[in-house]
Amino acid sequence: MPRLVLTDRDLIVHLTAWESIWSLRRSFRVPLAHVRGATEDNGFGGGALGLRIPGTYIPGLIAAGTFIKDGDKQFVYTRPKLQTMVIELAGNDWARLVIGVPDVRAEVARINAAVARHH
Amino acid sequence: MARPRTFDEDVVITRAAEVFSRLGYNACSIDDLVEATALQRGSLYKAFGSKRGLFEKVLNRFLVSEWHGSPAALDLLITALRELVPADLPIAALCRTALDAYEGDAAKLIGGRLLDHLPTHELSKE
Repeated sequence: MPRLVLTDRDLIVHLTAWESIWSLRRSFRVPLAHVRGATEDNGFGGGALGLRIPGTYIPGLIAAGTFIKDGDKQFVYTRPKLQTMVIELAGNDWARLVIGVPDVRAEVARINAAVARHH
Repeated sequence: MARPRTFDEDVVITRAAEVFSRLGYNACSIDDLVEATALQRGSLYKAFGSKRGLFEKVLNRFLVSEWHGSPAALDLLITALRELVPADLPIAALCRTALDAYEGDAAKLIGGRLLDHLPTHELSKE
């Protein structure tokens, strides 16, 4: 599963080798200054994903990669066994990250607390 | 590029406030907010950043000088105190400012509002 690491300045998303194959992305780093907030959103899927370019989308199994919705570039990695977190960005190439995590409420609180400290 | 959507922020905040008051913060999903506000999911995220960002805007709108006379504001304050304040310093500061500005007995006010939700008649056991 994706691992999120917070430093004083950045949010880093680590993907495993397999996850990188499905999503066609290596791990990446976003400055905390670009993070507007995180939200638990298990309803994010289907129509909200938009157009897949490039990546993997098998409904009910995996959504991974870059999706374009209403001109917004979204990085997605979710699987049914994980809970979905949406991280909204500003001033970044990506509009938002949609990441599957095992304990979404704790992750959301951790990211929002880091954003509050940073802004 | 999609055409930017315009919406009335006051209307969105009023509808979101109603949902937060009725369901609470954690139990209120983005699906609930999308349905209540009639906004697209992406527009909601773009406008407010997160569910927490929307809730903070709602609180700011309702915790104004005469908040203690508004049942809706009291319900939102109770939701914030129960679910967010222990781990969210900016929301805690908002609540503290509103409570400090109230010259009466805040505990009595909040307790009274909680008891307003208790039905006055015995509920039928059928």
